[in-house]
This record gives sequence, structure tokens and C-alpha cells, in this order.
Amino acid sequence: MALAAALSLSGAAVGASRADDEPAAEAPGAGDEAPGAGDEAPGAGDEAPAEEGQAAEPDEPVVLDTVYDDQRVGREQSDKVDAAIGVVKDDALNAYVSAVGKRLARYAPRYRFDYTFRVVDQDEPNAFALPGGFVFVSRGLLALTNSEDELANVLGHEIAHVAARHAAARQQVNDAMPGIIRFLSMRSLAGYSRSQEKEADRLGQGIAGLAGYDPGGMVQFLKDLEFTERLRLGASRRPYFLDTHPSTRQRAAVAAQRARIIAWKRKPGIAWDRADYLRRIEGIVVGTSAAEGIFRGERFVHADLGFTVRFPSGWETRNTHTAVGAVAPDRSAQVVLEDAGPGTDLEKALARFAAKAERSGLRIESTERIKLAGKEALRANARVSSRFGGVDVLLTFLIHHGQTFRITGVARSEKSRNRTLFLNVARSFRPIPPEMLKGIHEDWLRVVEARPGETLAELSGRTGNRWPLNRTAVMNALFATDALEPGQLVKVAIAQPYQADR
Amino acid sequence: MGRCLVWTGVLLATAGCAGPAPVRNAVPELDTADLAPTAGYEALPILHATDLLPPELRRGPHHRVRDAVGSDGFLHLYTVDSDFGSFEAAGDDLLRIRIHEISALAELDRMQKREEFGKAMAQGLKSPFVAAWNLIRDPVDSILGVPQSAWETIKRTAEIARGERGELEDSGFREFIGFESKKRELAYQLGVDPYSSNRVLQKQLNRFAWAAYLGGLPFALVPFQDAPETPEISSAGENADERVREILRSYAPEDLRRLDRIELAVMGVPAELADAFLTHPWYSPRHATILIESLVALDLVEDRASFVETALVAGSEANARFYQGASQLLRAFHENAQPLARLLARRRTVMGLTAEGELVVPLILDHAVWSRPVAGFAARVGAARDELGTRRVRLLVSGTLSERAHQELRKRGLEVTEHAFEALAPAAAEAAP
Repeated sequence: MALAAALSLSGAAVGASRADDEPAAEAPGAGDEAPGAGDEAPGAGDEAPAEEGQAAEPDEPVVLDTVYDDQRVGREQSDKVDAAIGVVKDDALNAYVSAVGKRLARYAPRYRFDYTFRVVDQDEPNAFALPGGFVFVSRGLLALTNSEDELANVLGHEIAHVAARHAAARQQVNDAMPGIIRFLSMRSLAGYSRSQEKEADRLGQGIAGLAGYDPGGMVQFLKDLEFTERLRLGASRRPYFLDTHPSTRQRAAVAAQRARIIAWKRKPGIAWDRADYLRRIEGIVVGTSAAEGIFRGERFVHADLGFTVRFPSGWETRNTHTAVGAVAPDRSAQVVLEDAGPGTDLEKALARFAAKAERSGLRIESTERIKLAGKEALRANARVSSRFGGVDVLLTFLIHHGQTFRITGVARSEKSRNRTLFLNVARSFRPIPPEMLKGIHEDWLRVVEARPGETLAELSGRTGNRWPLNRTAVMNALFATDALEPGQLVKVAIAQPYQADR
Repeated sequence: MGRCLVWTGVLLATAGCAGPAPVRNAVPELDTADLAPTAGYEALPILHATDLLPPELRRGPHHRVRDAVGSDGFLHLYTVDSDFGSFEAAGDDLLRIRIHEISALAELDRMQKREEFGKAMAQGLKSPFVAAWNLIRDPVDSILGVPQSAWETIKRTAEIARGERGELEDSGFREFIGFESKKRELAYQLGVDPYSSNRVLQKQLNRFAWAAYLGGLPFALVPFQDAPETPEISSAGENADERVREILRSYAPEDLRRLDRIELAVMGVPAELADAFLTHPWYSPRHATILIESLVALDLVEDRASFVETALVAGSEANARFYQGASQLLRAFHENAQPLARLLARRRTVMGLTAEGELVVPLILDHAVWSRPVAGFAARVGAARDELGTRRVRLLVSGTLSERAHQELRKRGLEVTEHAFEALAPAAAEAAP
């Protein structure tokens, strides 16, 4: 949670479909599957939760009639991605990914697009593209890859989405829920259709091959992804009707067959070899970035912003670049902490929110001044109608370090007992005690050499690797029982004390 | 427009025809020079449009198909008189396309008489594009008059710098200044091929596209909003056809070539062979797109490169259409009948082999009799069968064969499916037990 302006990430969306296949299905909502985007990479990413502007402004269809629309819309949305998810502040890493991407783009259709490539601050292995050539890969994806070939195939896949103008064919799902409670559904926009994904896989491998990369890199990446899914879910993800991607295992099998057919010739990469590649991605944060705030159980601690807040016990917590919150196990309620806009005038913050939310049918019914941790705060009770019936909304505006925040509790009217939980969340908001600040760490990717005779478990123990053994194996495309060669490079996660901005 | 040539096998001397120059061998693997009736073979039938075509195709508000129909032994050779000149069409399939194009020309002609078009043209003539002036005056032929300096100011990629553009493709200069995209859009709305070899249509498309591009003529004026697709043999289904239309509308020729180069690489076609195909003078972007899309649909089928290599022998648009049709038939068989495992080629004949070892041979023609070329073709297919050790050979014929040809082929162990596109259409496949 960096509390910047938010957006609908996949706002790349819509326009007249040129898809030739089954209609694009809505990507599964967060309520339908375990959180995380491992199953979604590469492809459409998770949508950032709604922010106040989104809450009030109805979705306007983005028309992508021409390539010029693509470039204009892509540029606008790219700026919003920067704000909503954040770009990893590592110039060398971004330059490297960009160099690989530019090399691929030379072989792409629609070469007049000014393709750009950046690394977003997202832990889940993910990649996505906006119309007009704006391609993003997550740091989580980079951490998963083991070669430039793998990265090139992923970037090729995204370039293919851009070049084929798949975004123009995506259908915007008109979410009837008011934006304010869209946090529940997470993704309100359709993903690519299955045939678009297959086409992007095929063209992506072709582009990689033409650029001199091994199309087999796609196979290895998909295998890595498949194992990651198994780790995350305890099993390979079961495909189901609403999936927009074919199953990862199926994709890997097809990609492997295709890799044997594709006509390609090896050309020197940007990175000299695997060791050079790993050196280039070394140092990226793996897991949650402390700069976004971290959870310790139900307690959320944001070192940079200097506050902590506790969410209801047993609720599913979520932390994004723009908001942090929790969802009730039965999905009937949620509570979200967000930036409430500029200034420290609580009434103005409420008025701004109310003005925008009014268009979504939200009505403020009462307000009262309260004290929270000895500081002035403003509470408002509101109601909104949705297709699911009446929804109660409890708003709390508070000021911390000269910044106004809003805590929004939303529950269906028949679940009024949640009100107490929402009040407790607001009451738990307070500055971080110094001793808590000292204990904040984040994990960085490090590359270490195996010693003669060393096993993966022994290497992990020696280096203080924070990943479990199986995860370490997956991240290195190894089996946990594989014998390590002396000098073999192994990626590990090493804890580093976090230096907060303040 | 020059004087039309004489079709092989039958005289069709026609002054002022507007179609492409006819070719000797419309079906590349069947040598028309060998068609003279000799002992043991059939003579070419005398053909009449009244026997071959439904009334609505023979005559329309703006066209009339001449009753005398020639044949090169495999394709029907039609002459169509129209309000816009005479056209020749080698094959039933091309005839339908030409008739549709005549309808489109009639619509453009009607629009040309409107005030909006005059204003747009007048506005276009005020354009600062010096080169455009000539292009408007003589939209088809004046591209060669574009000043060299204009070319020099255009920073194009190697794709255009190579200057290797197809016979039926418009110039890079016009694409650069946005004209070409207008033309593609207009063609899409009219349901015609923007790369058609019909020069009369090309001229009118260019004229309207210029009026739209420089004079602001809105496409809303174009009346063919619900125009059907250019009639095209296909049994790949509406979605596949629509996809081709959209690709042709959406991609500039250079981008399309880049896309095709990727697809060809993915199917294992070496770069040199891909370049040769993509710069082949007789494969317009439409022909190439349909052919490549068909081969793409044979996903993971081995040795698709052999098809592309064989298709390079095309020496005419008719040849290009033949291989385009052959690729579509193989696709239809693969998708709706039995999956193919690999493609192969013998001489100019392309074939598919199923996982069960059945040989599938597409043959694009209107009607054939038992002749020396057909006998030679049968012998080559038979030799391939023996070489491969296959049990079954299916000959997929887009048109029909004479009874005698049927008998002779059956004697040689070749199973014939006539009207193969219709037989392999998805609906028919679903209905099959």
C-alpha cells in the first residue's frame, strides 16, 4: 500500500471485439479462488482495488478503434499503472528488461508502436500489456525466471497481445456493484479469451525465436509457473469454465511441441549467460515489499507511513499499492483503508468522497466528530443500493502525519454485526511504536554458489535462505532432491532490515 | 486495359477486358498444354453459363455473364460484361468475386454522383501533398511519379527499404500518409478485397480513399454497411473468414508481412523461404493471409514448410489462388474430418498425411475430364502412396469430375470427394455419424 492514485489496471480494456472465438469470460473474482496471480501470468493482472474516484465514476467504455486509440489509451493507462502498482525503482533492472523487450519488438508486427517495458512492484509472477505497446512484468515474475530466454518468451507473449490488438477485442464487464465495494470482486474486467492466449503463446514464441531466443524458454517458464501454482494451492490448479488462460500444464505441453518446430537461430543475448542474468535480477525484493506495508497476522504495519492497524481476526487480508483491507470469510463484508485525498480537512475529505459516491447511489445518512487515539476523526454512516440489496457503509476519516485516510467498512444490511468490527479497525489505527519499526525486514533475492557436495537444504541452512526448500527448488527450476554442482548458482531469499523513509 | 489473351484450350478473344492476364496453367500441377484429346482420353466439353450458373449469377442489374464459357481443362473461364467494362474470371470462385466487385463498383458509382463526394474531392485537391495531386488525378498508375525526394523523407524500416512489394499491393508511400488504411477500411465496408487484381475496382477504391483521407469524405456515406464478405471458397467457418477480413482491415501490408513472418517461423519455415514467399509477386496480402492462416490452423502439424516451398512455384494469380484454396481444404479436412499429422509435397502437389497414415490430396478445380494431365497427376499421387506405404488416398476436389475421370481414379485406388468444401463444412461434419 503506497496510497497513490488508483486505477482499473486492466482499463486497457474494451472496444469492438475482433475476437473470433468464444466470448471473453470474466476473470474469476477474488472470492472464487485463492488470492495471487500466479495463475494469471502472463496476462491480465489483478485489478487494483477501487479508489474513491473509481467508486463514484461510472466505467466509461474505452474505445480502441484504431492503433492511434491504442497508443493514446495505453499511455494514459500506463501512467495510472505507475501510480497504482508502482514501478520498481531500479534503473539498471528496468533498462535491462527494456533492452530485451526492444530487441524483441524489432520483430513484432505494428512496429510503429513505441514499445516500452518496465518492472512493476508486484510480488505475484505476472506480466501484462496495455494497448499501444506498454508492457509490464512484475518483480515476482523476474524472480521466478532463470534465463533471458524465459523472460524473452514472456515479453514476446505480451508483445503479441499488443500487436494483435487483443485489448481492443476484450469485453468490458459492466460491474453492477457500486465501485465502492468493488474490492470484493477485485477484477471487474474481462481477461483475454482462450484463443487470444493461445495466439499470444504461439506468436510470443515466434517473436522470441526470430529475435534469437530459444522458444523453449516459454516451456521452462510455464513449468516454473506450474510448480509455483502447486506450491501455492497444494495442487495444480484445476481449469474451469471461467478461466481465461488454458491450464498452465496444457500450455507448457503445447509450447514444448511448438518449440521443436519453430525455425530459429541463437543470437547472443543481452545477458551473457545464466550467471549474468541472475546477477542482473539479484537484489530485487521477493515477497511483500516492506515499502508497501506488511501484515503480521491481522496487524498491518506500514513503516514508511508510520502507522499500524488491525483487521478482524479470521478475515482474508489484502494489501495492494493503493489500499489495504480485509474481506469476511463469507464475502459479505469488507473493510478497506485508503488515502482520502489532499489536505487535512476531514469535512472536505468527506464532501469530496460523498460528491463522487453519490453518482453510485451512495447516500450519507449521518456524520459525527469522534476521537481516535486522542486525535480528531470524522465518522459517517451511509447506505447504498446494489443488485444484491441494501449495503451499509461506515466511513471513518482520520489524519496521520499530515495525511488524511479513509477507512471504509461495507456490509450487506442484514450483516449489521460487522459494524462493531469496523469500529474496532478504526480504533486500532495508531502510530508505529519504535520497537515494532526495528523488527521490520524484507526479503531480497540473492544468488549464491553451491559448495562441493552441498544439498539444496544445506545451502539454504548455510545462507539463511528464507524460502522453504520446495519453494527454493521451484524458483531455481530444480527438484529439492537434486544434487548441486560445485559453484552452481542458486537463488535464495535473504532477510534484510528495512530502512523506512521516515 | 489491354486486349485479353487467349485462354488455353478455348478461344475467348475479348477486347477491353479488365481482369488479370490469364495464365496457361491455372492449376499448377496439371499441365494444360497436354490437354489435346488423344486416344483414351475425353474431350473438353462445350460449356454454357446457362448450364453452370443460377440465373441471379448470370445476370444482375449491372452485369451479364456471357453464355460461352471456356475451360482450360480444370477451371471455367468466364467473361462478364458490366457497366464498368468486361472482366474475365478463371474459375467459378473468381467469377463470384468479380460479380460482387461489380456490385461494389455500382455503389461507389452511385456515391460518386453525390454532392459530398464532389466536395471531398475538391477539398482533397487543395491538399499540400504534391504527390497526392497526381495520385488523385490518376490514382492507380501515378505512384511511379512520386518525387524521389518524397521517398527520401520517409524513414521506413528495412521492410519497405528493401522495396520488395507484391504485384498486387499498393505503394508504401500511400500507406505512410494514411491513405492506405482508409482504403482498407473502405474495402472492408464494401466487402471487397483491398488487394483485388481488379484494376477498375482498385481505381475507384483509390479515388474514394483519397477523398476520405484528404477531403474528409465520411465513410458513413458508404452504403454497404452490411456488405457480405467477398465471396470466397472456404469451409473454415464464419469466424475464420471474419478473422481474415479483420486482419486485412487492421494490418498495413508491412505489418501483415511481419505477422506472417512470425507465423511462418512458428510453423518451422526457414527465414529465407519465408522471405521468398512473403515477397512473391503473385501472393497478394489476401492470398498470403488466407494461406498462412490455414496453415496456422494446422497447429503442430509437421513439415508445413513443404507446403510453403511448393507454393513458391505459383506463376500467376490463379496459381496463388490454387494454393490458397489447397491450404483451406487441408484446414477444413484437419478441423472437420480427421487431424493431419504432417504435410508433404511431390512435384507441385501438396498433400496431407493423417496420423492413421491416410494420404489427403487437395485439388482446386471447377470440373475436370479424364485427360492426360489428370492421368499423370493420378500416377504421381499413386507413386506417393506407394512410397509412403499408405493404405488410403483421399482426393479432395473442390469442384466436380466427369464420370470417366471418377472411374479411372477409382480404378487407381483414389477416393474422390467432390464439392469438398461443402462436404467438409462444419455443419456437415457435425451431421456425420
